[in-house]
Amino acid sequence: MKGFWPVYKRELLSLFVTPTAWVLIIVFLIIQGFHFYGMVVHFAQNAEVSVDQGPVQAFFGESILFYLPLILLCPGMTMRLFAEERRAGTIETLLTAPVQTAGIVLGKYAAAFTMYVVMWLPTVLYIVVLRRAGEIDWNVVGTSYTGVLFIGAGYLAIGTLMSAMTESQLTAIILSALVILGLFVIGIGEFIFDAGILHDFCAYVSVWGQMGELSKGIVDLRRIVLDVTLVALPLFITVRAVDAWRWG
Amino acid sequence: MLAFAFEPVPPPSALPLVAVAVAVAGAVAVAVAVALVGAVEIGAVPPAVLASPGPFDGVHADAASSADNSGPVIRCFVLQGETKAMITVEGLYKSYSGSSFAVRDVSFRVKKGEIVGFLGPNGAGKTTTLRVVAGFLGATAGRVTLAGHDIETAPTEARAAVGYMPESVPLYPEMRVVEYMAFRAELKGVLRKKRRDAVDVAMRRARVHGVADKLIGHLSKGYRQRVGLADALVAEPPILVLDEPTSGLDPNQIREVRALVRDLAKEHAVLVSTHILPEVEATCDRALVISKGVLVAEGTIEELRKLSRSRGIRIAVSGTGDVARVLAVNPDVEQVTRVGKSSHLVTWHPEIVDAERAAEEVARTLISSGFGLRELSPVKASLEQVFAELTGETAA
Repeated sequence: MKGFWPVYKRELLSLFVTPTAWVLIIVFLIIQGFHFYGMVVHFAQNAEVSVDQGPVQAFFGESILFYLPLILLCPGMTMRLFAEERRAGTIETLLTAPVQTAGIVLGKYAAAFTMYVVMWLPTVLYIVVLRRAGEIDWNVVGTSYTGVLFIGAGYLAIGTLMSAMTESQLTAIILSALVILGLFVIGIGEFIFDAGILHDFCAYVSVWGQMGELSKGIVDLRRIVLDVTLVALPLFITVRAVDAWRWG
Repeated sequence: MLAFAFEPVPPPSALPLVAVAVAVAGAVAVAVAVALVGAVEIGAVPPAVLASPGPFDGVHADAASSADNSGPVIRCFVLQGETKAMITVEGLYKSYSGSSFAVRDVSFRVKKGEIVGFLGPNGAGKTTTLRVVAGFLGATAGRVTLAGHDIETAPTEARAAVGYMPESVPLYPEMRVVEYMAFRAELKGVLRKKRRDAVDVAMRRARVHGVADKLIGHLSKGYRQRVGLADALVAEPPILVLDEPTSGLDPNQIREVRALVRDLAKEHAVLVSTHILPEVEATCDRALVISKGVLVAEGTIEELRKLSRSRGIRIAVSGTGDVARVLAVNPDVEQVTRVGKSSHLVTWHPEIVDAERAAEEVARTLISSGFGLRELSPVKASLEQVFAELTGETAA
């Protein structure tokens, strides 16, 4: 897979020497700070909680404040990956280098994913803070973060694909936010449809349901299959789309 | 103090965490594998248009000569197979829309140590052809071989043989010159040990080592152009493809770039496109003239000059009489134009065989008709004229 490392390193450099990464990370941490604060206040006022309703479960995916930032910030991380290269014409120098398209696509995707991980890292401190006030099941924290990574991986893959579809970063961010929002909204169908195929399908696709399970330590293989599909399929199409430009 | 009512939990065991980590790693591996398989498949997929039997006109000479019978004599293209060609383009067609062709049946070769100018008006298909040669665009039909590697079957090897500088020299403004060069060197597979030296040599050759630590976004147009050139050189490819390397430069920079290109031709095969004619005269050994997607002429600068039908002689005579009527009997003379008090321009017929002999004949006729011949000099067609005639546009 020629081209992965140089592209990965260059993308990281570009993300962090321009304000993009810093702005996104700061916005994210401010929102999560409020989220965590509100949650802590809630639990401080409700001393009686059940076994599967601790602050870790609440923080990971019980409130819209968990999902909304991701729906908007993930497209922000991926919007420039290909759109900017196409607008500036640098894609021409990139694609005439003796590298494979898969290397380029995965290098760019991995850089966005690295940034996503960096964005979440400070939130580990929240868990450390909670640890001072009570016991923490680190396995549950582990599965919760796995869920975070899986969801982000899928969203970023969709964002990468949308960035490859257009020359405008603005179009890329809007398109990917819409697609991700669409996926998110399908999950709500679980509460709209009564029992049946539609209900089951919506429940299966629901990120809400997925985070609910993972934050309780339940790992469901079907969900992992879905997540891997949501990563692999967009990236696969991206590779094909980038190669298709040559025949445009 | 916050108090949480946590239920007692079993002591944390590392096992589930390990399992999760393995699952993540597995997922990534699957994703990578899928993407890779995708890439492999793509390599094998031929362009859908390849097989379509479009209404190609077989010989490019036809297109030009049928339009105008008195048009330029087209020098037939002969493949010089003996010496090893670095760039071989055979019957290249490129279509963007599927119905019309941006490039039709273009064939040429560039040998090592040769600078070939790719000449044509804007929109003639220069950039399209160079993009196909550099591997950015796929050919609709035809074969492109670079340093022996077919661009269709061995794309990575073929692309590795080319240093390409695109027309507008796109660069990343947020990177420093030296960072960009290191990135390009790594991307082109220059080994880590040699990378620093390769970057250094390329930057010195293109004379950008003085701005190595500057942000590309802060560089002037001239420097950006040279960074593009340094990028083309960094992996020491045997072939250089430069799309309008002097556009937007000031005269001093143009001279420098031309000198550099001439210097590079010693060990490279260079294909350089331009719409500026003096550039071809100044740097190139040979030129290919493209018009409306068709190769209309090919040859050395001298050979191209001979293609002009406006070649002739300038004469200055003394005495009275109609020079035009006297010379009208000569079958080689097409037209006599009065250009000064005593000067005339004699234009040869396009199918003239021996211009020198015809000039002698004109002198003899004039003297025997009682004129005093004061001056007789051959008029060389400017390349501009040739170019205008070949590409079907009126001379400026």
